[in-house]
Amino acid sequence: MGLFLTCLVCAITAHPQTDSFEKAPVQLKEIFIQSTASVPDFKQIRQSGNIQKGTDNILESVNGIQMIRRGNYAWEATMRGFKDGQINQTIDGMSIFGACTDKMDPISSYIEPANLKSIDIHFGGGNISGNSIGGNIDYKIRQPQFGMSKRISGLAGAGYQSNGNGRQILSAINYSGEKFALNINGIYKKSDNYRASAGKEITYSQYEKWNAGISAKYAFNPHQSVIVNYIHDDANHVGYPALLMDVAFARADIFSIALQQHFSAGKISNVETKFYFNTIHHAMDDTHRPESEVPVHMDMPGRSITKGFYSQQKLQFGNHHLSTKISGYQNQLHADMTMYSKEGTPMYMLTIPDAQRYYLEFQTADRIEFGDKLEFNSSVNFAYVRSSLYSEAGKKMADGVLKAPQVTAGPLGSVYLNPVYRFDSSLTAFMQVAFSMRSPTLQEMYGIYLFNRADGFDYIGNPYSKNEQSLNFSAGARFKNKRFTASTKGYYYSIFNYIMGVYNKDLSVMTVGAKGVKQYQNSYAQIMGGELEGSVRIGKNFLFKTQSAFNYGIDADHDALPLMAPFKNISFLSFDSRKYGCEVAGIFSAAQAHTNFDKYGETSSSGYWLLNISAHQVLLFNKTTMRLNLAIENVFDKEYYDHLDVSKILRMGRNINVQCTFFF
Amino acid sequence: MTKFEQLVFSNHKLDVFVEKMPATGYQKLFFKLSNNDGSANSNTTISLKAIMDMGNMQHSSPAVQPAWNADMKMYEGAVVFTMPSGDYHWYLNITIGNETKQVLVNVASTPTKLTGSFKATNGDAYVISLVPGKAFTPGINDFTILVNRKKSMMEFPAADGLTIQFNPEMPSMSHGSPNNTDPVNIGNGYYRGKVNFTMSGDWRLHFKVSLHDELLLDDASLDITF
Repeated sequence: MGLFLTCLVCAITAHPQTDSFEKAPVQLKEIFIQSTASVPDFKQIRQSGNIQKGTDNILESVNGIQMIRRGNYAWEATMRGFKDGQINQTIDGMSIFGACTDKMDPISSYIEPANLKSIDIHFGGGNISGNSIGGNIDYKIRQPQFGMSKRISGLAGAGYQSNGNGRQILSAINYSGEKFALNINGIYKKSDNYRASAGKEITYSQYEKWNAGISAKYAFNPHQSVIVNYIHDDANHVGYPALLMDVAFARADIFSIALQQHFSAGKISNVETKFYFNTIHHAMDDTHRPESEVPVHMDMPGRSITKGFYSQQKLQFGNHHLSTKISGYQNQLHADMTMYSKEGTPMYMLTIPDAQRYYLEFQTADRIEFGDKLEFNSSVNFAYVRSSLYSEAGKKMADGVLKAPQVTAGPLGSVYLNPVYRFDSSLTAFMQVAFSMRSPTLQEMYGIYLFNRADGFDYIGNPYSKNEQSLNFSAGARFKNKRFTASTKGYYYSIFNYIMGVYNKDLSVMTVGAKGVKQYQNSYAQIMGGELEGSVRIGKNFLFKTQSAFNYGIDADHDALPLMAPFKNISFLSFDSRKYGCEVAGIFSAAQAHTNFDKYGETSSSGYWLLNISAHQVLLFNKTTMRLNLAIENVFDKEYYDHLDVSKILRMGRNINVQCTFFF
Repeated sequence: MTKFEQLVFSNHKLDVFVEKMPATGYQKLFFKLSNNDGSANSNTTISLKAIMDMGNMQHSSPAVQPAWNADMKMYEGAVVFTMPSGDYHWYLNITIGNETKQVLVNVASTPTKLTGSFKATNGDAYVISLVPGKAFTPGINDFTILVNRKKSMMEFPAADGLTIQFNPEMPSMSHGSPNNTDPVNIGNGYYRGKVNFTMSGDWRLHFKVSLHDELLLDDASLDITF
């Protein structure tokens, strides 16, 4: 530990900043959520996230992100085939971890666009992803602003979806003073069961939730301010048709307090220090399923508590734009299960035996500009991770099944190099080489008989699991002029100690009906693929845009890795004028036959294509704006499912979506 | 610890204590022996035998003779009540010197099978009883069983030298658990092992008992719940 402290390199690299469009880093995607009356340039309105679009829908539209669906709620984001512990999802830089043992509560399910300023997505390990293999999604919370022209502003909106009778209402209010600013936002959503093609009802797919956030910012002086954030997210009676259980409730409380300092002179330009605390309480529910499908009724609650901090500095030395960050957290996970069989005493066990992780990370990033053409980004991360069990009951439980050691501790490190070359104002090329690592998650280390619906096996953790290590290469180029853009990226990851479940014939199942028990082991995998994007402006108002992603994964034996998305293309033709626009979008997914049934229980999937039509109108009043959206999704009511959808649950048939948002 | 009975012998007074009220299974018994002048006595032999009177016949059951327990400053022994009193009567015969006193014991039934009699392949019968110890919790727990051989209706000597293979099962879920340790002989008929309870609930402990190479009991089981 001391060695790492003394090794902390002084050269801190710059956090890539979006100064101007031309210099925008090609590896970071930022989706801004429109929340004010000021209408961005109509050419850019299409790029901003509609505040009424769900987090999951926004993520799904990002090239390179594929969602694993278990129903109509809480889809799980994967980035280029990396998922779960291989990617990092943070809320405003804060670490937060789901409480459900069955992956029913990804972090994206606890946050709503109404809370957010932007969603920042970074593919690949290293750099701002820190110690992760696949990348990072950071949900940046909207900050209240001082001195806006309107002292009081806000929005109110309502939306309705014909499929599932889905309705939502949302509202936000901003107060903007000279020294004090406040934002309060809230959303309520409810949907009944949705229908696939031909009106086929998908039972157990309902959901209901509300979310409220409050943000307050106070300026001590023009250079220092403190900001306090609190978000409460509350979902109830949520159905997961792909799984054998639903969710009774999922509640998150996310709190942070941060000090922001700007310096007009000197090397350091700003410093942000934040302390945070979040808790998630989650409970599964099988009481709404028919008796015949529930051989043993189970109560399965879980909770996740995280306390952490970070301090981030931005500096400039000559042509170095640097950032340094020190961060740390403590996360505690508890999950238990009580089973009630028809005869006999209730059976109680811990499924996550009170596991805890301490994490401390030092991160430095640098951007060096060599003249106008060459930019060199680099980043180094060091972390120290300590995993253990924090209760006697947990230690005893884990010792019985896993023979877990008392404490597992060790270092992690990542290095990232990213040169970017600008040939001229239209053509940029980049290369990226990174070595990154990630620790196994607490579930991968200490999970006890966690049933995985995707392959029908019980999974147990491996406390001796080694860190995953990945070497990744990617390269690409982007061409952009007034009329055309085209960008291409190819990537290759070689992942050592790839963590996956391996069948253990000596263990007997715990879940009634499971096919066997798998234990997490370290193996090897390779993932490669690419993303292509292009657009062309036709005339003054028309835009044709297309994006394609393809992905290929193989395990140590060169057999197909499970849950790899097939080739997908989304193409849009849109018409936009100052006040209204419409768009036709086609979605095409190829079939996925690169699967391995014997090893992973994965079957192939058919391809599909869909057509969506949408239109929007912006009405400008004196100082207020109204945005109307009408969309018809899956116009032809096609029956389809995506390869990543668990149990191949059918997706929505035709859906008419109407939204009205009023900005004042 | 409850005082169960007080017996007056010509030279001694004997208080009998129990930790739990008598029920089917291994019953620990504690004895405080005092001389007639009130002073404690720790060096006299106390003999114990349980008898069940079924009217037309009587039978005994395994017993562990009292020995001085220095930590508790009492004599500690045990009997195995192999069945509840039911319509009949259990008696404890306690002998000091050449005096024997008899205590009537009402043995309650238990919801689970903590002791059992099993017929071996060679015609012998064996009694296996779970010794009460620290309460079970999910995870790996120590456990001890007492094994006695039925020599006759009245004699149940401790059976040492047996090889016992063990595996636990949850009958309602039909699953076992990994990382158990077969019980090993620690003398006087006691065998100590480790059981991994992956959860609380109803468990069946299966024992396969052999003597040298001869299989005596293929599947003797006891049931517990916690």
